[in-house]
Amino acid sequence: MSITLTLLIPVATALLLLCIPKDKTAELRITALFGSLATLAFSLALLGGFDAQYGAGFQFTEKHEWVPSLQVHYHVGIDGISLFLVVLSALLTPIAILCSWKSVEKRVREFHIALLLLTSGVIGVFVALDLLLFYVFWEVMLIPMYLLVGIWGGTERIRAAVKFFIYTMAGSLLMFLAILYLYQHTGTFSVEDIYQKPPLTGTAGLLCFLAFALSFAIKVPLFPVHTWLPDAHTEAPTAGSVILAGVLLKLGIYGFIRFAIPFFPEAAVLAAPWISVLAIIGIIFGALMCFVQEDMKRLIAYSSVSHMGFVVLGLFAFNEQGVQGCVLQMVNHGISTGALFLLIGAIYERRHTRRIIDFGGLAPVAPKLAIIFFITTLSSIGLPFLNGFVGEFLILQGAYSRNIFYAAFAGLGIILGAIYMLTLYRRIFFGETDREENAEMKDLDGRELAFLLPLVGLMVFLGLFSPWFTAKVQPSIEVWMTLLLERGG
Amino acid sequence: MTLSLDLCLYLCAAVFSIGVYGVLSRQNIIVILMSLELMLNGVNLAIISFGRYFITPEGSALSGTGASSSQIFVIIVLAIAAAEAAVGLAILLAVYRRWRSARVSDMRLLKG
Amino acid sequence: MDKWIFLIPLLPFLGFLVNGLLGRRLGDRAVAIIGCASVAGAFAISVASFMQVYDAKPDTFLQQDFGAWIQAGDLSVSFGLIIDSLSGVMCLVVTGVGLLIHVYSTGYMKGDAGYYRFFAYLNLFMASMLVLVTADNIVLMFLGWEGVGLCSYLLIGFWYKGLANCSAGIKAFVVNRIGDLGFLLGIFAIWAACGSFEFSAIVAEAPNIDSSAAFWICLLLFVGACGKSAQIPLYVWLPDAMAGPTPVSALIHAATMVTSGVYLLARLGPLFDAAPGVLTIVATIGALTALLAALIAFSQNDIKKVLAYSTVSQLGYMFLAAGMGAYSVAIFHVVTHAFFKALLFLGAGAVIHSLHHEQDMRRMGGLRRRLPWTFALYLIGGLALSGFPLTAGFFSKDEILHIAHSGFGNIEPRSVLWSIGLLTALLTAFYTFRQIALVFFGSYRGASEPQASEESAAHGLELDKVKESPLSMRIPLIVLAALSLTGGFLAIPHFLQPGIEIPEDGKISGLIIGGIVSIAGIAAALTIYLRFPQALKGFLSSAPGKLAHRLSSRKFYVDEIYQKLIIRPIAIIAEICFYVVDRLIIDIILVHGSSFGASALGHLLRRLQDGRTPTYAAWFLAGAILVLAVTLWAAGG
Repeated sequence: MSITLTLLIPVATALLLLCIPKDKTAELRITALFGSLATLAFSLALLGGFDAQYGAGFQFTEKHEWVPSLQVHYHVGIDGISLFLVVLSALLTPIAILCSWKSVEKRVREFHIALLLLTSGVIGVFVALDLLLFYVFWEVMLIPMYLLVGIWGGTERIRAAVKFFIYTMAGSLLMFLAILYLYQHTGTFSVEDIYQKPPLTGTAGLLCFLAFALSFAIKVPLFPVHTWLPDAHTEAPTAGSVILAGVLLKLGIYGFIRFAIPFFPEAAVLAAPWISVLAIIGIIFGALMCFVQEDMKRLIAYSSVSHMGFVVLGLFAFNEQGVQGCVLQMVNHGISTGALFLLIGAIYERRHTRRIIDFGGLAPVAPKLAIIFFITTLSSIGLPFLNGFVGEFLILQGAYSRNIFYAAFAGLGIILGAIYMLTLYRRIFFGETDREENAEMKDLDGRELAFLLPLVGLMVFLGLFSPWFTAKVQPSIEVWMTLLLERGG
Repeated sequence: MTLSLDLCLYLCAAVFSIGVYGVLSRQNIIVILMSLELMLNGVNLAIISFGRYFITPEGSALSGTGASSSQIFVIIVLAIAAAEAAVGLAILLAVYRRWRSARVSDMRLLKG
Repeated sequence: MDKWIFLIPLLPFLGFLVNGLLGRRLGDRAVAIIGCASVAGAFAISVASFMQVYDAKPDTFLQQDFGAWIQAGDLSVSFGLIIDSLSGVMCLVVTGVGLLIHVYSTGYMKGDAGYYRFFAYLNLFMASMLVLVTADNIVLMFLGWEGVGLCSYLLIGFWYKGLANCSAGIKAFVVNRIGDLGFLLGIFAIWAACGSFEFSAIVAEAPNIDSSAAFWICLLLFVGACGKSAQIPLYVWLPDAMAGPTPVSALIHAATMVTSGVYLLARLGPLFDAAPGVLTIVATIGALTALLAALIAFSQNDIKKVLAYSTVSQLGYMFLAAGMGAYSVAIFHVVTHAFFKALLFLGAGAVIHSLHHEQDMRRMGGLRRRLPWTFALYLIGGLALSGFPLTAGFFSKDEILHIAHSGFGNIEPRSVLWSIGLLTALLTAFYTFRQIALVFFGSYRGASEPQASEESAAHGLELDKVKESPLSMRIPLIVLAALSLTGGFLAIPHFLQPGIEIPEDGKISGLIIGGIVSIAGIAAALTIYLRFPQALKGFLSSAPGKLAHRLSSRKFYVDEIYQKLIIRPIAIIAEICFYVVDRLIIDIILVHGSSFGASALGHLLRRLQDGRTPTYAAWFLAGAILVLAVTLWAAGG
C-alpha cells in the first residue's frame, strides 16, 4: 500500500539482476518477471485501497525532506487521475518482459535492468508531487528508453534513439527553466503549495506555460513535433514500443493535467483554442499518414499520433466529459495500442518482416492471432462495446460542448481510422494465403496468449463497465475543475 | 611652445598601434616580444601624460601626489615588462629548442 | 414479462459466444441448433412481450434498466431496454424473419468451411439489431447501430479469400461510419438541447427545443439514417454488399439492418415533427432515392444487384412516408418489405444455390419448370414487391402514396413527390418482372452461352442437373410467402399510432390507381421480355436507348464520381502530407535542418580557432575594441 515500495521494487529487482551472472538468461528473465509482477501487485493494492470518496487532495502521500536548503522534498501521492496510469505502467512491464522472452537475445541482463528502471521512472513521474522530484524522474526515464531503442532496436536504431533523445531533451530544458522561474516566483517546489499560490499571469505566465507545454507536447506527441515517434516506434524492440505507446506518451498529457494547466490557467485558457486546433490537425494528419505507410509498426505509430490528438482535444475542452474522456482514453490507448504493438511483435518474431505487402491470408493460418488482432482493431477504431468508444464518445461530447466544429472535424478521424485499420487488417489477414512463409506461420502460443488475453479482457471490461473507472476518477476531476476555476481559468 | 595633451595622446596611440601591428603581423617571436614592449611603452607614455596634464574639474593642473602616482605606475609597468620579457625569452628559448623555429605560425597546438 | 426482456438481445449474444468460441469443436449440427435456438428463444420472448404490450392500454411499455454504461459528470448513459408498441413490432419482425433466415441458412451454408463462423456472426448481428431496437436511449441504440454495421462488414467479407468481398465490406463499414459521424454529432446536439439521452425525455422535451437546434439535430440524425438505410448520397455501399452470402443479404441488407434508419426516425418522431424543414429534406431524398435506384435496377444483370437496388428504392419509399410525418406508415412498409424482400432474396438464394453459385441472369432462364417451388414462391414475392392488388406491398406502398398525395397531419400534400413515387411504382413492377422473365421464363442459357461475366463462378451447368433446394430452405420461403400475401391486412399504423388519422378522401381511388400501375408495369415487362425481345434490342441499339442503358447500367457513374471527387483526392492529400509535410517540411527542413544548422555553425566557428596565436591576438584586439566602443557609446549616449 505504499507508493515508495511500488517505486522501489523495480529498482531493487534491477539491483538483484546485477547479482545474477549474465549468461543465466532464464533466471534473469524469471527474476525480472517476478519483480515486475510484484510491482503490479503493489500497484493493484493501491487501486484497491484507493478511496474514491476521499474528496480533495492526494492519497497515500509521503513527504520527506530531500534538499532542505532549497525546500525540495521527496513528496509523492496519487489521485484518481494518476491512479490508473500507475496501474497501467505496472501492468505493461510484465507484459513487456513476457513479450521479449524469446525475441531479446543480446545483453539480457541489461535489457531487463533498463526495462525495470524505466518502470520506476514513469511511475515516479506519475506520483511525484514535488516539481524537482518530478523533473528528476522525467529525465531519469529518458535514459533507459534511449538505451532500449539504441541497443535492442532495429537497423536504424541509433539515429532513432538520438532523435528521440534530442527531441525530448530540447523540450525538457525549456521546462526546467520554467520550473526554476516558478520556484523563484513562488519560493516552493511543492505542487500542492503552488496550487495555493496566486498563479503567474501575463507574459511571464504565458512564457512559462509555453515552456511546459512544448515539453509535454513533444512527449504526447502533438502535431507538428511528432516526427520522433514513428522513428522511435519503428526501431524500438516490441517491449520498448509497448511501453513507449502505453505509458510514455501519457506522461505528456499527465504533465498538462497536473502541472501546465493548473499552474498557468490564464495562459492555458488562452492557448486552448490553438492547442485544440493542433490536436485536430494531428488527428486528421496522423490518420492520413497511415494511408501511405508500408511498415505496419510505423502505421500504428502514426495512428497513435491521431489517437493522442483525441486525448489532447478532450483535455483542452476543459469540461468534465472531455477531461474524463481524456483520462479514460489515455488508459484505453495504452491497452489497445500496446496490444497492437504486441501483436505486430508476434508477427515479426515469426516472419522477420513488418512490410504489409509481405502478408496476406493469415486468417485461416493463425485464427487466434486473427481474432485477437481483430478485436484490438475494433477497440482502436472505437467500436461500442469495447473501450475505445467510451473514451472517444466522452471526448467528442466534451469537444462538442466547447465548439461544434471541434467535434465535427475530429470525428473525421474516426472515419479515417476505420479506413486505415480495416484496410491494414484486410491486407494482413484476408485474401489468398499465397506465400509459403505465411502458410507455415505458427499461431499464438500459450505465453503470448497469457499476455494478450488480459488486455483483450480489459478492452471488453472498460467498454462495458466504464463507470467503475470513471467513478474513481470523477472526484479528482471535480477537484481539478474547481482548482482551475479558482485560479482564474 | 607647450605640448598639448592631445598631441601626447596621439603619440601614445601611434606607439601603441605600431606595437599592435607588430604583434599581429610579425612571425618572429622576438619581434613580437619587442612589439609588446612598444605597446607597453605606449601605455606608459599615456600614463605619464595624464599625470602631467591631469585636469581637475575646476580647471587647474594637479600637482604633488597625482603626478607622482602616475610615475609610480609607470615604474611598476616597466618592472613587470622586464619580468615579462625575461619569461617570454625563456619560453622562446624552450620553444626554439623544441621546434628549431621562432616563428609563431609553426606553433598550432591551440587549434580547436 | 418485463423481467425477461433483457434476454431478447442476450440469448443471441450467448449464441454468438458459444458458437464463436466453441463452434469449431461442436460440429455443424450443434452450431445450427444453437444458432437457431437462441433466435427462437428471443422470438418467443418477443412474442410474449408483444402480447403484453398489445393487450394493455395504448401507451404502456416494458422497461428494464441495468445501471450505467457511461458516466461522466452529469452525463449518464444506462443499459436500459424498452419494449413498447414500436420496438415490439420491430422485435417481432427482426426475430421472426431472423429465425426463418437462420433456418434457411442451415441448408444454404451446408458444407461451408466457415459454418460456425457464419452462425456466430448471424447471432451477433441479431443481438446487435435487437439492442438497436430495444434500447431506451440513443447512445445504447448507437451501440447496436455500430454493432450491426460491424456484423454487416464481417458478413459481407465472409468469404475473406476474395479481396473484393473484403473491400466491399470495408466500403460498407466506412460509408456507414460517415453517416455515424452525423448520428454521433446529432447525439451530442441532443444532449446539448435536452440534457438527456433517453428517448422518453427527448420526445418530452421536443416541443421546447428551439427550431434551429431541432433542425440541426434532425438533419444530423438523418445523415446517420442515410448511411445505414442507404439513401442518397450514401447508398453506394448497399449494392456492393451483395458480395456476402445470400441469407445475409436477406437478413441484413433487406429485412432488418437497413431499415434501422427508418426506425430511428420513427423513434424520435416528435423531434422530427419539430423540424419541418428536415422532414421536407427526408421526403425529397426518399422519393429521389426511390426513383434513382429503380432506374438503376432496370439494367442490372446480377440477380442480387437488382434486388439490392430495389431495396434502396423501397427504403426511399419508407423515408418518403417518414418525411410526411407518417412514421407508422413507414414502419408498416418496413414490416411488409421485410417479408417480401426476405422472400425474394431467399428465393434468389435458392436459385443461386441450385445453379451452383451462378448469379448472372444472362445465364439463367426457363427455370420455372426445373424449380417449380422456387418459381411459385418467387412470383409471390415479386407480386408483393410490385404492389399487385391485395398483396402486402400493395397496401403499404399505396398508403405511402396516398399520404403523399393528400397530406398528413400538418404536412401539406406533396404532389411532385407523389408523382415520383407513382412513377417509381411503375418502374418497380417493370424491373421485378423483367427479372422474373429473365430467370424463370424463356429458355435456359446457362449451359450454352459462353462466360457472360468475369465474376460468374459456375461453368455451364446443364439444365437437367438443376435441382430444387432442400426442405430447410423451402419452409422459410413458404412462411415468408404467406406473410407476403397477408401482411398487408395488418393494421400496423393504427396499432402504432392509435389516434392516427389517415385522410379518407381519395383512398379508394389511390388504391385503384396503384393497382392499375402495378398491373400495367407487370404486363409491360412480361410483354416486352417474352413477346417482343427484338423490339427491346432495337430500342437499346438506338442512340437514346444506348445512352439510357449506359447511364443505368453504369449506375449513373456515381461510384466513379465519388472515386474521382473524394477518394482520389484524399489519397493524394495523404501522399502529399506524408512526403511533403511530414518528411520534407517537418522532418528534413525543421528537425534535420536545425541539427544541420547547429553543426554547420560549429564548423564555421571552428575555423576561427586555427591555432595561430596572432589570430587569437587579433580577435582579442577586436574584442577589446568592441568593449571600448560599447563603453564609450554607453557613456556618451
